Amino acid sequence: MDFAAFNKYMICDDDIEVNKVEDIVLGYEFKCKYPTYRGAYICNVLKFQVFVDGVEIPQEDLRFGVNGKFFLMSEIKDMYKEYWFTGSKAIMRVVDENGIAPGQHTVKMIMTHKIPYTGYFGNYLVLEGTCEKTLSVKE
Amino acid sequence: MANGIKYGVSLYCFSNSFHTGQLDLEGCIKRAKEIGYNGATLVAAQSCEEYPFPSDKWLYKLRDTYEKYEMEPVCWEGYLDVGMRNDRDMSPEEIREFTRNDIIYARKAGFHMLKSQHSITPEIFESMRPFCEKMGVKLCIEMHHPHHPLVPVWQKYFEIMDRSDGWLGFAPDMSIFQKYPHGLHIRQAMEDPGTREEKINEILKAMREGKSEDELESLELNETEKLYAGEFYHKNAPAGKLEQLGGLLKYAHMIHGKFYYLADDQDDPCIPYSEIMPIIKKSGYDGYLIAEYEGHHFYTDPDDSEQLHRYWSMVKRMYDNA
Repeated sequence: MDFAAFNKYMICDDDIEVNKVEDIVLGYEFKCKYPTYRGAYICNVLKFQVFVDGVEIPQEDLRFGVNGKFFLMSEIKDMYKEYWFTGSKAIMRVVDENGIAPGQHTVKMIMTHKIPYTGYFGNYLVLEGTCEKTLSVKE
Repeated sequence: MANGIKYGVSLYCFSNSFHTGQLDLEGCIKRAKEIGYNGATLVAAQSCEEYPFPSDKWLYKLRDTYEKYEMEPVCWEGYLDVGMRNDRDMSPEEIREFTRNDIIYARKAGFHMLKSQHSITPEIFESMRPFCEKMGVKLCIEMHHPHHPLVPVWQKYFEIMDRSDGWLGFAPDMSIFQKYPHGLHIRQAMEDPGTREEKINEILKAMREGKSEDELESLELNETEKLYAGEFYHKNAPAGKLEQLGGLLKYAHMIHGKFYYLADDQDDPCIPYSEIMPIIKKSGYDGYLIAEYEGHHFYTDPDDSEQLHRYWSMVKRMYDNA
């Protein structure tokens, strides 16, 4: 299968960071990269799915951050002017006022994405990439 | 015959090193030079940090970096991401604008060739010629698997190239002659826990014996093995005919020397360079053959520099001995 080798880079090795204002916890976040050789218009990501310790995070609790901006999952489909550069670390933020327990957590991400130049005979290649890593929460 | 073929490289070959930050863009150009290549193309959607709206500062820095390493800027490799939106494909106006922008970027960065894609449409392709002339940037369309010379739209493209005084051309990607699974695809199949090694070997044997996919039924393959059999057959049913290549090279602005994995510098079992190189030589083609290592779509552990050494050694020997 083509385009599979970079899936392992999708979740970055950086620690999970708790997202907070002073002592008020708002959620947590980890970093991710677009898993192919080039960059992408972020609307070409048809779906992000995030699982933490085996539990899927509801779509409405996810925020995707790239180029200094954050997007709702429902906004991604329209973002054809926003480019996620090759190898650039984006932020996947989980809105959860309970935060996340210290220590290690299993994080899995499934990305369904369209390769926008592949319509050779009318059909675009759509890929589903999966990456799972154990990450620590930054102290 | 003119001066003969020139050997260049696409910085895309260093995709893994670039993606992981082991090499920055200058590092890729420097590495290509160290291997011995004197000309290089660049995939804008991969290498251009401010894509699709690079600043003049970025473009002039790129031009200066090519000059610093005495690297010839062979081609600004553009994409037409016709499917960049989800609600519709690009409009003709948008295709024109992307193409025009890429021509401008190419010129600013010192490139005199832009590579586009089949989806440009014949009408827009021909309409770009005056702007190409004005900017001093040739425009070519990549012919990539699964396309091939007999796809109807290509007949129109060749007619347009014929009346363009050389400003419009094509860039055949040698993947159109791919005939047998490459080493990394075979490795992927072998390492998949859902397959049995002996069954993968039987599929490959059947391919070497010229059997069709329908004739694999007796092998009693499981679902995963059938999946790989399907990939092996579909990706390696050569879209193009080798005998068509020589006559078409008069339209070629460059050739994409696609390869996925070379176990040594002797032969490529996947793409028949031993047949391709003599055809290129006989045609008198004197443009660039751009090495395009693509094994990184399958595995990241092969050393891209070593692969590029092997490729150059192999194709140069085949060309010189033809």
